[in-house]
This record gives sequence, C-alpha cells and structure tokens, in this order.
Amino acid sequence: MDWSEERSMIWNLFKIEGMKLKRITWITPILSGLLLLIVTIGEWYLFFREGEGGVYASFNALYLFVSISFLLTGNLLITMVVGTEHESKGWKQFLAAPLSKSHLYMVKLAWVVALILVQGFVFIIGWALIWHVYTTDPLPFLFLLKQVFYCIIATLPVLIIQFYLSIAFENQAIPITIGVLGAIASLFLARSQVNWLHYLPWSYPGLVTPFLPNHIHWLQISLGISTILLLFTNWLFYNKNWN
Amino acid sequence: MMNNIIETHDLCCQFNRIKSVDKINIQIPEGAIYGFLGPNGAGKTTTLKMLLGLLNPSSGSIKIFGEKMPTNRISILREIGSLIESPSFYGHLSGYKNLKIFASIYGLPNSAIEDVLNIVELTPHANRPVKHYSFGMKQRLGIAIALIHKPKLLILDEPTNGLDPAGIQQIRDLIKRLPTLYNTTVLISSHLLSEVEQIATHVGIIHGGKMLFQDAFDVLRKQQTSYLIIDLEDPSKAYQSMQKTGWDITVNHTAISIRLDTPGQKTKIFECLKNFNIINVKEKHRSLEDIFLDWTGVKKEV
Repeated sequence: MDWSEERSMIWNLFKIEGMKLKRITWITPILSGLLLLIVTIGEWYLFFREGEGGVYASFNALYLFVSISFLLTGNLLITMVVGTEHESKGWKQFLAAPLSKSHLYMVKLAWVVALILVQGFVFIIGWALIWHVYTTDPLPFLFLLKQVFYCIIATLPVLIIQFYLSIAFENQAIPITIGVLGAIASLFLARSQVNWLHYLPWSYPGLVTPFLPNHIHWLQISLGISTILLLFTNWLFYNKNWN
Repeated sequence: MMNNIIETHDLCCQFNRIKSVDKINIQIPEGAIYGFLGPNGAGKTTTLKMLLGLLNPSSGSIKIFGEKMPTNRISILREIGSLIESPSFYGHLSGYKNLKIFASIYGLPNSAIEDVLNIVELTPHANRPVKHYSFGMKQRLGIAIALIHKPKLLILDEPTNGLDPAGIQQIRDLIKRLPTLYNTTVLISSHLLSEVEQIATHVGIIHGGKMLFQDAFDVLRKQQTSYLIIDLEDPSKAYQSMQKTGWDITVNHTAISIRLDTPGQKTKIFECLKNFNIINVKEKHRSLEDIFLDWTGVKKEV
C-alpha cells in the first residue's frame, strides 16, 4: 500500500470515527473552554485585579487553572470516545473489519487531541474578545498561544496513558479515578521542590508555561515521552487479546 | 476437489494455563454451511475470535482463503463478515447510520445499505435510534452489518440466542439462502443440535476445547441408528449363530443387541432366532441428540 492510499484510509477512518461521536462529546470541549475562561477571569477579578500586574496578572490566574482544565477535559473526552466503543461492544466488530489496528488506535487518539484543541481555541477566542472589550492594553497574543498550546502538548503523555487505560479497563471508573487524581496531583507536582517529581508526566503541563525560562526543555521532554508512550501503547493495543 | 475456505492446524488457545482450545483442526469447504456445535464453554467463541484475529493463538496455524492469519489479517478480513457474541451497534445512532459506518469502511455506496436493510427486513425501522430496537431487530442489524459487503465467508456466533421462534425462523431462512445469494460460506456456532441440524451441510463438534467430530452432516446422520435388544435364555449361542450370518451384533450375559439399518430387518432377525427362547424384545433408537450428549458428556436434563 502506498502512502497516498494509506493517507486516504486514515482520513476515511477519521471521518468514520467522527460519525460515532455523541453530541455531548462535541459540547464538552466548548463548555470546558468557556468554564476555563470564566474561572480564570473570576480568579483575576477577585484576587489579582488590584495587584501590580493589572490586567496582565490575568495570565497568572490562567497559569493556575490551565493544566488541570486540559487534564480533566482530556480525561472526560477519552472516557466518552473509548466508552462509546465499550458500551456498543464495538471493539470486536471494528477489529474484525479490514482496518489497521494501529491506524484505529491513532485515529481515536487524534480525535481526543482534536477535541482538546477545540477547547483551546474556544478559550483563546473568548479570551481575546473579552480582552478587547475590557482594555486597550495590547494583548500578548503569542504568550497566550504558547501558554495554551504548550500546555496541550504537555498533557499528551498523560492523555496517552489515560487513553490506553480506558481501552484496557471496560469499567471506566478506574481510568476516570486515575485521571482525576493525576489532574489534582499536577497542581502540586510542577511546584514541588523534589526535582525528580518533575519528570513524572503529570508535572509537564505546569512546567511548560512561558513564565519559566526552561519551559522549552520540558516541552521537548513531553514530546519525547509522548512518542515513546505512543509507540508502546500502540504495540500493546496491536497485541491485545479481545476476550 | 473442493477448496477449503478455512483450515486450522493444531490450533490452541490458553488462558492462565487453562487450555480453552486444544489442537483444533478445522476444515470448512467452500460453499458449506458449517455448524460449529458444542455446549457452553466448549471453546467455540474462542476459536471464532482466533479466526477473526481478535485473539492470538497460543500455538497452531490458521489459513483462510489460503492466506495465513494473522499475517494477512486485513486482506482476509475484507472478505469476512462476522457477528460475535452479542451484536455491536452504536445505540445513539440510527440503524441506517450504523450501517453507513461499515459501508464507509468497505467503500460501499448507500445502495448497499438499502439492499442489506431489505434482506434483514429492517427498512421501515432504518431511521430509528438503535437503542429503541427490540433484541431481535438488533440481532438482524448485527447480521446486516456482517452482510453489507457480501462477504465470501460469514462467521456467526450463536446468532439465534435470545430470539423468539419467529425470529429464529427468519434468521435460519436467511442463512440457508446465503450460499446461493452471495456464494457465501457460512460458519455458524451453536450449542443447539436441533438448530445446526436444520441448516448445516457440515458439522464440527467441540467439547472441552477438543474437536470430537468433523465431517459432512450426512456422515453424522448415519451414526443415528436403531438397535433391537433381545433378552434370551442363551444369548451367547444366539450371538454366535447371528454373527455367522453377518449381523452387526453385540452380546452381554442376558441379551444380544443388533443394529437395525432398515425396519424390514426385524422379520429376518426373528426368523434367525426362531430356535431360541426369547424372553423380551426392546427397540432402542440412538438419535443425533443422544450421540451429541454421549460425546459431550452433557446430561440430558441440562
């Protein structure tokens, strides 16, 4: 099979996976984006507004919530995307179809990432609109983009772990619990004084903020670990027995 | 010579040191309706899942359409339709959209969806969400998904489970039509001999993970026999006398047992035994069910 044929198969599979998504799966990232916006602005308005940073202190408020928001939304989206397949007993039907197991795995994960990106875009658009309505100060748009999208990239290792756990456990309560605990832990791990804890994937979303000088280092680590985890979990998925 | 669509060689599957399937050699000729028969837990579903690449065999090999599974998994699966255990469907979508998903996988036009809806008689319900379907309708949708690409091989795992008699009849008629309709070879598993007996041309009987019998159904039917059990004063003398004249006969200390191939043989038997004192005569029929129960060791009341 040549690359163009394979590409068209992957695109076809991506469209098919899109057909399966429930309406709530589309609504969730939009609501999560809006919720992040409300919480961040609320936090700034209540606790940062009077400080030295003025309107720019809103980025400090954003830093507090951005990682937990993407991790929790990712957790929810994974449960929805994978749960649909468990509920419908669709795995065995789909894997008995002439589809590449690796493609299926990647495409499902790609949908989760795409939906988190929707949350990111909703947040950025909302932030930019509110900024322009509220103030005439220039918006550091590049900083905003980096804060949001670096954080999304840094959540990938956790998302991949979470994604495979959701596939492995039919009972979604287990991966959801792990996901929620991980998201809460992420709030503390990045700020921990114990250096080795920073190497846990749950720390990365808090370490890739442009506020920190070495954030690119953590971004590179996130991408490297994501690649390793992706290859490993894809291999596990390929060899999994569907009892 | 007829080609085998499926051939397995010493196929094994083991979970936690327990052998679910033990050196199974399946041979299914092209165009056959192969009944894969066995009690619950015999290893039928495990075998079918290995054929579809859903489970990795512990040892042994599988060839489907002459190609190795799972080495050529995708090209093999292109020609197979399957329904394993309960039907899979996305409850929030309509029957039509569920079929659309599978039509897209095979690159089929919408007319293929309409055709298969007609075959399983679901056209009037096509636009209803599947979560509102009855069990029988879900089962038929599962079969429609399996049939949408007109597969060369259809694998159905207990497709009539949980259906009412009318539903069973409908599915049975459909399966019987498939070899002529699409030139499809069918592999259907069941724990009900009566079900397999009505549709299968070939049969494989599995129990405890081992294949006990495999051949054309007619070969199994030939094992269905009647015996005349005759209590005699001197059964060993009668045995010697009857054996000389070529009867298929066994003896114990009170009676002889003679295999009956035709009902007309009874007169000849009594003619041969006219010089012996007959105490009692019983006729015993060994049905297919008796054979199946004997082989699988499952008690009748179960």
